[in-house]
Order: sequence, then structure tokens, then C-alpha cells
Amino acid sequence: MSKLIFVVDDSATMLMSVRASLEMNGFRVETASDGVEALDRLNSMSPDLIITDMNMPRMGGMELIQALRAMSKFRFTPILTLTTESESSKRDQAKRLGATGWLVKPVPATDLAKIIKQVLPGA
Amino acid sequence: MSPLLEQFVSETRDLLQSISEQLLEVEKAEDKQATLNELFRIVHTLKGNTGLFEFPDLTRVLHAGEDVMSEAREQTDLWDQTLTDLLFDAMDFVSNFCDSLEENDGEPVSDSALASQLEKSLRAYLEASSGEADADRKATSDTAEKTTKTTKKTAGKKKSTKKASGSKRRPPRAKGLPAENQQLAELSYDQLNHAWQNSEAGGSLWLVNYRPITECFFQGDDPLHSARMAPGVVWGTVISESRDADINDLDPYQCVSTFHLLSNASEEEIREHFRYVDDQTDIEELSVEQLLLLQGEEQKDALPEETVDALCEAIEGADLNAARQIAETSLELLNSELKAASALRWIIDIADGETATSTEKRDAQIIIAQRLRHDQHLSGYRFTVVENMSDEDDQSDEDSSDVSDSDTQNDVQSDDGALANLSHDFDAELDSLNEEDREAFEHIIRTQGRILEFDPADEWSRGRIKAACNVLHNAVTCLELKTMAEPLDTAIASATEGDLTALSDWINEVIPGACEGPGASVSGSDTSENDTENNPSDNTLVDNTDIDDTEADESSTDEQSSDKQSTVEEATESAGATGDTASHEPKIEQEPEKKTEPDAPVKAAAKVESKPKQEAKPASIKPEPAVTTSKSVKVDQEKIDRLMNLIGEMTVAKNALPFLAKRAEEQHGLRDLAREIKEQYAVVNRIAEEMQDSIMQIRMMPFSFISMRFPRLVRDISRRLEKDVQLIIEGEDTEADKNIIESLAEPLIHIVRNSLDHGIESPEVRQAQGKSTTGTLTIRASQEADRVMIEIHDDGKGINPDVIREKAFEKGLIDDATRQRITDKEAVNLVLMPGFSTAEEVSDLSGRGVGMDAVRSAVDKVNGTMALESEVGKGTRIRISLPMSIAVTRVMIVESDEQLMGIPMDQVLETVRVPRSEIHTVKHVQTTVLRDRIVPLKSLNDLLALPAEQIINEEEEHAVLVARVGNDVIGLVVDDFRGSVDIIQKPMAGVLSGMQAYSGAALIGDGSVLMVLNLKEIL
Amino acid sequence: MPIVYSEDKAIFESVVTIQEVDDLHEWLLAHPKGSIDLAACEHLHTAALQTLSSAGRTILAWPDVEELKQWIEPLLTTQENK
Repeated sequence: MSKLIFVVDDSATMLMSVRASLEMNGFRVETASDGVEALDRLNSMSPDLIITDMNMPRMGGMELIQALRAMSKFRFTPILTLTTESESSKRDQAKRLGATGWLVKPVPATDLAKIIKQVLPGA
Repeated sequence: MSPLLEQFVSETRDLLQSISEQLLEVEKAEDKQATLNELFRIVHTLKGNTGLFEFPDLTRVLHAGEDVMSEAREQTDLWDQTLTDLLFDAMDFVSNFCDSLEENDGEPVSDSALASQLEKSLRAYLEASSGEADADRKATSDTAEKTTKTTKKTAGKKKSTKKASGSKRRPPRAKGLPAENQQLAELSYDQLNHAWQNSEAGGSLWLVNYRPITECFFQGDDPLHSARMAPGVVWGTVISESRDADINDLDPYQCVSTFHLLSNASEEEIREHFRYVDDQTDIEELSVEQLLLLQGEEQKDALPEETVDALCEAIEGADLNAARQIAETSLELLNSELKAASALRWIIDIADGETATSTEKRDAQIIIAQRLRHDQHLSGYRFTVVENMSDEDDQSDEDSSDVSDSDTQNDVQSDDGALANLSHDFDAELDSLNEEDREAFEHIIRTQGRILEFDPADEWSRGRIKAACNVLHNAVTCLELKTMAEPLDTAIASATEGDLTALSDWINEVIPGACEGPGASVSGSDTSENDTENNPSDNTLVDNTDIDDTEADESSTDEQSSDKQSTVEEATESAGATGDTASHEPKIEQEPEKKTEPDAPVKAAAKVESKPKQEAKPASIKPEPAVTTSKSVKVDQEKIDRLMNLIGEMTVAKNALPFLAKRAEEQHGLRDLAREIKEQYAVVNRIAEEMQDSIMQIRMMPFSFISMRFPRLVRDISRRLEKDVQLIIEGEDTEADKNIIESLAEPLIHIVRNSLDHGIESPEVRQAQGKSTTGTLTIRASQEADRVMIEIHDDGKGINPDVIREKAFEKGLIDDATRQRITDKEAVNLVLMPGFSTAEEVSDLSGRGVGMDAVRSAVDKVNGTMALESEVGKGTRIRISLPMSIAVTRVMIVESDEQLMGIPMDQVLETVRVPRSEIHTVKHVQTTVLRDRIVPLKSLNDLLALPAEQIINEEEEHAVLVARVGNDVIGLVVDDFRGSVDIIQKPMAGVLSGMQAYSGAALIGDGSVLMVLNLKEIL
Repeated sequence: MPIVYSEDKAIFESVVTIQEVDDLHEWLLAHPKGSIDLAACEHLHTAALQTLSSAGRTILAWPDVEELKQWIEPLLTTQENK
């Protein structure tokens, strides 16, 4: 079965775009629009990779990463943050909290596939 | 518009609304920080989204806006009204941009000048506020960004020109032997040789030491995977403390391994790959020549000195074959474990190498020979070499290796003539296209080519091939490519028969190499999953997605190198240039087998492929519905309308059941059946009603849907009028049917404008009158039974009833008697009459001369009523009452001249029987007295110009329906009453839509059509 | 399942993730003579590799994927039958 990727972003447009890129590359995709919803939905899911935006209402990316790493189910799951060019300090901070790496918006489909291959064995 | 763009526009509108709310909030808020953070977040999201499309004007403005907000977030005291105005202007620009996107189906007409001006103003604000330092910082980071991009490009170029550029790019090398690297010394001969054969002589190699942190697994890392995936790996190994650990004590989740690899990729590519762990990685540059190490046991005098000398002479003379022969002969006699043996193997393997030029081979052999002499304790040998061996040599060398690379080369070249002719015509036709069409066309062809490469044996293949044929045929037909069309149709015909060769040939004639032939991807499909970077040794593996790029590169190099007219110098140079544009993809592996394309149309292919990003554009994203996971769903209004219609039909169908029951009982005497039908009807009825209710619920929208526009509106207008106004909105979650809420928007905006324009006074006037300088405008929505009440109240100067009286009289709206008679309250309500406008001049705020009467007619349209109260000096209050839903109308059915007609129940006051004797004629008007009121009577037949008299019942009574029409009460004389019924009223369509006497029609239970009267019109 | 266990050997298949490591660790402890078949293994997580290297077992078959074999062979070879 193809890999399942969970994407969290408060922008429906961004979600739609990332979803299309991922599905084009043969991944299965589930989404949430902020950290709270993500934690809720992830209770019943075990994605192979999680991609999260940083700036979101209710619960942002940092808190989400911390919460996920505290769950035994997700302690080793690769997590990529979705950041903009100007957010390099956030990338490092997220990395310290347990993120694997980052993507820079907007992410072209080809780059996305390449990066996922890099962090996800068997992708 | 693409679904993504539609989603973008819809979300942008939502975000703009939020921005507008937050901007207003900032002005008021005590603690600006939280609001500014939120504001920044929203603008940030919005700008992030625009990055998905190519709307430079939009991105420019939003980028500037984001920067300003980012700065303001840091220094909240930056905020002032001018900035708010500026940001509002920017958001208006965005909003207009969205309008234009929608109007022009995704091709926006944008005002670049305005965008520049906005950007400039925003940036100016930023600079003025935060000083030059920030601007500098910004500029620096921008430049840095560009630099990174440029170097990436260079990296790609370097790769793609690997083959062609020969001796040109060799960096100056240190004299003498290359330094011995400790880590390399640990490699076996095979590993070293493998790395050598897969690297560019004279180039660089990178030794990467990756030491992951102990906790790295908890960051989702798998270092072995990262290391394996590194670009250009020619050798790699793992060293781990775990091998010394007792398995009983091992904590498997602590990373205790380090990873070491050699890569021939560019430094940028390697750093890019390890960017997430750059603090855990160091990379060291080595020259490829450092690989040329001898491995094995040292043994002096393993080889006779003459042999070594002969070898050196052969090498000096660049006689590869002679050197190779000497090495081979000597090797047979030698213990293979010896260092000297490894030197001989190097000589042979270097000579046999496929990629290096003869100069490079000679140079490498010299290094080996010198190391050999050193190992054998022989004196040094002074190699005198002819620098710059003739170009011919290089050329022939490359040529010969090319031929040996590819056995099929000759066959294909012999076909070249014929192919070239054909493709020349095709080429001319391609050239006739404009750039955009051509790009699209070639993209289509390429894609179909790839489709044909799929396994023809699999179960989908028939459909797939058929689809590809259709696409090709349509593309060619659509662009009127006549030369291509005929051969294509022939090819399609045979493809339909199951022979794909002609079709793939055709594709290759249009774009050489676009189709490898039927089933080509099958053999490689397993391995193509692996990234080719990983398997530099395996030249036949090519990631499918890279095929085009590779071909473009390879072919362009081919084209250049086979051009006998040009010198090698030129050839390599121009090949380099082509390579530069031809590939931005850094990971292209050499692929000699594929170098079999005819050259003629190659330029075109290279040109298209120079924009590989094209494929990543949203245009190619397959249409997917916006599947967000939030609890609410956005549904097209049309779908709800359809549901509404269905439930309407259901109601009608259901209402037929009582008729059926009646017939069963009366005509067929089946009482039991009639009872059962009635019972069944009760069940269906209940479900239908609940269903109708639920659907109505879906249509309900909160008042906030329109009230959210007011804060901005009030702010803008009051600032323009220099008035001080506080807006209070209450009951924003009051719900009503979408149509009603929407129909309210325009009237309410008008009322608000009126209040600000004519109602609330300027601060000076207010102060003079002892009022607070700030005027208050209150908009309150509430629910009363099944109606929604909207009240708009201002504490302005109010309406002077005397002024209204005079005005209405002047305009001929009332006669003198009325002027004298009406109360003040009635007088102020005169402003609602058609044609009345109190403004002396039409101001730009209150609109285009349409007064409150326009508001009133809008309210009337949805069966609402409105009233106005005002007190001079105190203010004005407008009350609007609206039905909560317009979807279902309850009507009273009346009969007149044997026709049934409906009258909306909310207009019906009562139904009475009036004896003929109590009808009097006063001033030619028939009237009667009901509850001490004189009620004028009108005959429905008269009103509808029906030639019949109204029927009277046996008691000589007329059936009179008393209705309220506007503010009047009248009695409508009909033939009989037929009870009331719920209907779903549909507007009249077609030619009937012009008939003002009816507001609509509906089906009733027995399937007949009921016309609903528009009393206002017929009276 | 990426690892198929029997009494005398563990057969690695396709991609072995870190999720498999606990079971692998347990099996190695419970089967001190158990050996390893990597032929069908396409990748194994670093944690699994470390666990194998610590156990030092006989490798019955190296990965068919030559490149993976080259990466891990030195580490696992030197420790065979530790």
C-alpha cells in the first residue's frame, strides 16, 4: 500500500495544493486544519510522514510537534514543517523539538517527491 | 478556473474579511500585540497561498504588506491610522484582483501601476519606521537567496556537461603526487577503482562524514537512509559502536553510528541533501586523483626495473595499449596481494576506463607509475609529456568510446536520413506554432509517449492506448498540423489493431526520444523506484521522470559533437551552454544506451525541457475536490436549490395521497384501504416535513454574513465625513434564509450610509447641542416568532416631519389635505414612498439618487415590512421585519370564475362572508364596514379582467378576503375559499415572467398548478 | 511483515522500519543462535542495523541490493559470530 502522509495547514488552498502534489506522486493523503484537529484525527491513524504548517490558530506547528513526540506512536515518525523563506529561525526551533526537516512554501511537486524520498525509506 | 484557483479565491475572500476585522480591531484594541500577531498570521497565510500561482502583482503587494505587519508586530507603536488606511487599500487591491480572477476565468487583469504604488507606499512606511538597517538586511538576504539559486544552476550544468566538455574545465593541480588521505587509504582497491571509474578525472570528490546525534531517531531521522540517498555516492560505509556493545545492554533507540561516504556530486547538491543535519555533517573536498592509491603488501623488487621503466615510457608516450600490455603480462607473474599488483591493475583499469579522455588516462597512469616506482624503491622518473595533446586525439577517443558505448548507434544513424526528412517537415510545422501552443503540444506528445511505454500486457492498456490515441488525434487536429495528421491517423489505425510501433515512431518523429517504444518502462519499472543517484555504477537505470531531461541533454551533446564542422573547443563550449539551459535537474546520470536519437529536432526538445518547472505548475494538478477535514462543508448553492426543488416535488407527490384515499373511499367504497392510505400519508408527511425543515436549516445563514461588512464601511465613511461614529452590532448570530439575508445587504448598506450622511452630525454640531461628540449607530437583529427583526438606530439629528410634509407635497406625492391631516409619525414614513429623497443633492455616499424607497422595495420583495420612527434632535430608528424563510409559503386558496388562486397567508387578515346588503358604494367605491372600520372592496374578477360576476352563496353573501397590502387594508371579493396550503413557490418563467399580477406558481396536491397573486400589483 | 521469524533465522524483507526493532531485539535475545537472511531486504533502519551489529550473528544471505550490501557488509561481517 502506498505511504500515508498527514498534512496540517490552516489554509484550505495550501492543503489542496499539497494534497494534489502528493497524490500525483502516488501517496495517500489525510489532512487537518490545525494542531487540535490534527491530534484528534491522528488518534485513529498512523501516517508514515507528517507535514505541518507552523502558524495556525488554536494549536500551531511547534506545539503539535511537541505533542506528537510525546506520544509513543509518533516518537519516530518523520515530521516536516511547512515554512516560508523568512522563517528559518523557526525551522531550527522546530528541529530541536523533534522535527525531521522542513519544506519551503510553495513546494513544487517534483521537489516534494524528492524530499519525501529522502526522509521516508521505501517511498 | 482550476479547482485550486477557485479554492484560492474563496479562501482569499474569507481571509480578507478576517484581515478587515482585525484591522478595525487594532485601532480599538488596548493590547495591540495579540491582534497584530493574528493579523500577521492571516496576511502570512494569504501571501503563502499566492505563492502557488504566478500573480506577481498580487504577491508583490502582499509581500510588502506582510513585511510591514511583521515589523509592526515587533514595534506595536508603529501602528497608526495612515497605516490602517494603506493596508485597507492593499486589501481592496487584493479583493479587486479576486474579482478580476473570477470575471476573467483565472486570467486576471491586474493594475500593475497600482500594485507598484501600493508596494512602494508600504515599503516606504517600513523604511521610514524602522530605518535603513532593515532595508539593508532585506536586500542582503534577497541577494543571498539569488546567489544560492545561481549556484544550484551551475551545479546542474556541471553535471550535464560532464561528458562533453573534456579537458577544458580541469582545475589547476598541485605539482607532484596528490596527497594521501587517511580515510581513502582504508578503502579496498575495488572500492577505489569503482569510485575512480564513476568520477570525472580532474574533478572533485567529496568525503562526507555524517555523525548523527544520539537522539536523532526521535527527530524522525534514519541516518542510514539519508546516507544511502545522498547524491553521487561512489562509496559509503557505516561505523558503529553498537558492534562492541553487548546486545543485552543495547539501547536500540540511541544512535551510535557514524556514516562515511564519497560522493562525486557537487558540493551544493551534497549540502542540500544534508541540510536538515548540517550541524552533524562535515564534508571535505578531495581531488579525484587522490583515489589513485596502491593497496596491498609492500614488497621491494616485485617487478624488474626494466619492466617498470618500459611501462613508464609507454605511459609517457600516451600509448595506452602498450602500457596495458606490459601491465597485463607482468600481472600474471605477480602475487595479487602485492601493492605492485594493484598498481598494474590500475594501469589496466584506467586504460579500459570509459569516461576519461586519453589525456586524463595518461595523467592518471603517471600518478600510478610514480607511486609504483616509490613502492619499488626505484628512482623517480621524469615524465616529459606533450601538453595539450592534439584535439583530434580527444575527439577520436570520445568518438570511439561513444561507438563502443552503444551498439545500436550505427543502425539508427543509417535510418537518420529518412527520419530526418520527415521530422524536418514536422519541425517546420512545429515552428509555425506560437510558443505557448508548442510547449503545450510537446508536453502532450511527451506524456502520450510515456503512456505508450507502459506494459502493453496489463489489463488497462487497451483503454490507455485508446485514450492516448484520442489525445494525440485531438491535439493534432486542434492545432491544424496537417503534415502530422496523416501519418498519425495511419499509426493510430495500426495501434488500434494492437501494433504500437508506428505510433511510437510517429511520436519520436515529432519529439525524438519521447517514446521508448511499447512496454519500454516495464523492464525498468522495478529499479526505477531506486534513485539513480544511488547507483552510479549502474548506468542503465534512469528514473522514469528524468527521461526527457536526460535525452535533451544527451541529444544536444550528440548534436554538437557529431557536428564535424565545428572544432572541439567550440563544440564543448556550446554543448556546455546548451547543457546549462537544458537541465536544471541536478541528478542526471549518464546513459550511453539512449544516445540514439536523430539530431534534427533536438533543439526544440531541449528548449522545452529547459523549463522543467512547467510540469510542476498547478495547471497539471489533477482536479480534486477541496477535501478539507473541518467539520463544516461548503456546498454549492445550486445543490441546495436542487434539494429544495426535490422536497417541493415530494410535498406535492405526498399531498396526492389524501386525494387518493378520498377516491378509494368514495368511488370504490374501500374504507379500509382509504384508512391505510391516510395512515401511510401521515408517516410520509412527517418525514417530508422534517426533511423540509432540515433543508431549510441548511439554507439558514447568520446575520453576521452581512453585518461583518459594516465595521469597515462605517470606518471609511465616517473618516471621509470627518464624523466620529461608534458602531454597535447586536444579534449577529440571528439566522434567516440565505436569500433573505442576502437581499438585506444592499438595503442595509444604504440605510447605514444614510444615517452617517444625514443622521449623525459632525462632532462640532453635536458638541454645540450638548451631545457626546461620538455618534452611535446601533444595528440589532433578533428573532420574533417566525420573523426576523432588524433595527437600525442612530442618535443623530432625526427627521423633521414638517420638512418631509413640504417636500412630499412639493413633489406631488400627497395632496394638501393629506399634508394637513397626517401625523408626524406618518409624515416621516413618507420618505419610504417611491420618488422621495431628502438629500438636497445626491452625495456620493448615499448613492445615485435612490432613496429609502429603493430600500423599501427591496424589503417588499422578500415579503418584509419596514417602518421608520424619528424624533428631531434625538435620532432615527428603522425597523425591518422579514420572514425567516421564503422557501415555503403558506397560501390561502380562493376560487374565482372557476379558477383556483393563491394569496400569501401573511397578507390575509381574515376571511368573512359579507351579505350583499352591507355593501355600500361610497364615491364609486364599494365598501363595507368591518369591526367599525371602512374597508374598500374589490372584485377579483374585475381586477383580473375576468368577464364573470362574483358568485354569491345561497344566503346572498359575498366571500370577502380581507388582506393587508402595504399599509392599506382591502377586502377582496372572491367566489369561495378553499383553505390554506403550504407551497413551494416558483417564480414565473419564460413569457409568463412578464406577468406582474402573479408572483409565482406552485403545484398542489392533486397535481394542478396554482397561481399565486401579487396583490400589490393588481390593486 | 518486514521480518519473518522462525526458530533458527530471521528473514528481512523490503523495508525494515524502527517499529520492528523492539521485536527484533527480543527475538535476538531469545534466539542466541539465530541467524539472519537479508536477501530480500531493501532497507533497514539504522536502529535495526545497530541491533544486528550488536548481536553479531551469521548473515546467511546479503541483500540482493548490491549498494545496500556495500554499505553494511563491513560492519556486519567483522562481527559475525562475535
